[in-house]
Amino acid sequence: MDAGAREWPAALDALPGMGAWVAERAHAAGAALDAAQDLRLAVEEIVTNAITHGGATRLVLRIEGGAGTVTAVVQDDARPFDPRLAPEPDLDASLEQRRVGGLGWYLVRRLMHEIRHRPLAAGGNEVTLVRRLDGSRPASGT
Amino acid sequence: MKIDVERGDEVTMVRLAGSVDGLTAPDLEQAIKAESAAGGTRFVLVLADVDYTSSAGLRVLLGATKEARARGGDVRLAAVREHVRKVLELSGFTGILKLYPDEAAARASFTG
Repeated sequence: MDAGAREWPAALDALPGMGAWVAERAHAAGAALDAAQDLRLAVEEIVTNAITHGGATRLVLRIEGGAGTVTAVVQDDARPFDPRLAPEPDLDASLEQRRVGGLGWYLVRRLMHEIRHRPLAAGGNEVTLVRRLDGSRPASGT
Repeated sequence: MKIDVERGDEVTMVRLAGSVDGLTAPDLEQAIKAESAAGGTRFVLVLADVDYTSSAGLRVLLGATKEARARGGDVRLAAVREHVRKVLELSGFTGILKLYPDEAAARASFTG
């Protein structure tokens, strides 16, 4: 594990500390508050899915600054998944019809400019999230 | 996250401070459910000191609003900060929920 990486327990009670750490590291890497909160949210959604749906027991996070970008890398030991298969929520549904849930991946796609996924050779997943800092909006739904 | 509940005759004020995430959202859900069980149907969530919510908070908001409206009440939001507003907008919640600039305006929307 390199110097910028940190291992976390795969448990929901680690989320507040993890979220604060992600925002702080993103800020140190050049992100303003809005971008740092976007990255925190995207990481939380992915980590929560890995814990509650994927059976993760171990998580490693890394935050890196780049040229006009901040990147978060999330590694887990959860069951492999394909984020392209995450269903789209129906945003136009009425309150009564609106399903409670299904928003996690949708928000990740709307907030991040790039999302890359690969299964790890040793099992588990690696998700790379890139947030640009130039104020451009991510292309929705990709 | 801190949750402060003030039960009034007409409106229950729920003041939150901190971050609503996958760990803390169930606490909010429980707090609102307890008030619902005690007969509350009209809620104002004061979010002036909430800097962050994930989809876990949105789930609680949606569930609580459905429940309150089914019983003739509502859940209304006051003093929503920038990033929380962005997440509500992206999720289509600003078309479903009523937002007010401050606590007094949200309370007045119920009491006229």
